Amino acid sequence: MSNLKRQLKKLQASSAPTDEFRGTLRAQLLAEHANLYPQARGFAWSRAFAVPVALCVVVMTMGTGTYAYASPAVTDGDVLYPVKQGIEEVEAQFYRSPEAAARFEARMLERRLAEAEYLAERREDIREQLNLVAEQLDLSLDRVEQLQENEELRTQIISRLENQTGRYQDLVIEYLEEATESEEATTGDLIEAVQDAREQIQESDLTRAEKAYLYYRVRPEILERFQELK
Amino acid sequence: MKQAEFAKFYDQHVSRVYRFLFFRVNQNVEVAEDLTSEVFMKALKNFESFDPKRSESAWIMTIARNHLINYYRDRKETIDVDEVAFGLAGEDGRAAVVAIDDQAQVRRALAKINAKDRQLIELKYLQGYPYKEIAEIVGKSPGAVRVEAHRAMKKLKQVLDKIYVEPEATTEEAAS
Repeated sequence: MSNLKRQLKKLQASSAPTDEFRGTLRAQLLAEHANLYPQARGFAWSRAFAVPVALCVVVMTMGTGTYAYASPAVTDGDVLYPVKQGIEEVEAQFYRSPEAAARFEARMLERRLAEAEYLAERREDIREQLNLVAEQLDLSLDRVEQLQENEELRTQIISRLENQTGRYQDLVIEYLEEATESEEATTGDLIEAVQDAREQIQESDLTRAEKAYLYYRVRPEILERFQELK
Repeated sequence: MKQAEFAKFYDQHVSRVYRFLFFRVNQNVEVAEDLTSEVFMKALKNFESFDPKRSESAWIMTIARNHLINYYRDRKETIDVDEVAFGLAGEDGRAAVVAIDDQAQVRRALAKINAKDRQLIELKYLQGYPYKEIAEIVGKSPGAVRVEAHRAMKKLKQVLDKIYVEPEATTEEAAS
């Protein structure tokens, strides 16, 4: 599968628009924009950042905002979760460089994992939270792939991601082992791909390490991406 | 609407729109560039009325799809934008252009799988959309998209393996 992904990457690269075309069209569009909207040309950096910075300051100095932002107990469905999401979205605007964005996404992955582990400890349904973790893992891997020049940071984040993926695997296996038949009947698309593996896991005498390997077999795209990044 | 906002929108989506069109006009660079320009001009004129709660990706791809349909309609051709994707240059029923290189084989394999699988692979691996945005474009959950994209890749690999093992007769003729 890695070879196929490499071939698709080559196809992606060979089908890209030229820099000359992109630049020329951009200039044409912005000139046309000036014709269409002659009043709306300025870009005031202070205005662009004043509102999000002010929002951050206001929310963070409120006790509720700080709690919502920092606590793994505030998860999807909680009344404070929109506050948490809002602060994270504002925070994301500040991280423009590939390095800062990679660090930010790795931190967000840690948050999603902590939320899933919090819910799992309380034996709550973590299916949707697992989906959020998987999405965030995907985002983190995307950002790491863009760290072409900073080898040291890339290595650091990959090492952290490996640990986080291990924790994600543990949560998935725990979920699979504890899901009841009625939950399985209404299971969403997230674990559809691992249902076959669930049957094998339940019926087998596999060790925990072997079960983890089996999990990788049904989510090979995550393992492959690590193999490609190393 | 600030110029910088539209510039950011353009930077994020231009390559994806270009590739979407490029693979549906027989990899004709000139036509793809013209259509891309026209799509973004349309987007510029309608940006003021764009609802920011909607997905930008879904919006610009809808404009691109409709514009492509209009392009073929003006040429007196009715096409399905998903079925025509990845058709190799020259493969129009008259004479097949033989393509030996790997990329052409991948395009050939993409043309053989079903439109739904092809769309997922194109959105994820050729246009580089994250699963969350793909989910907004196709109207499914990110989890469902992830699973279906993985299955689509398995099917593509099977088709590609078959192409390598059983080259078409025209390929063999050209090679001899």
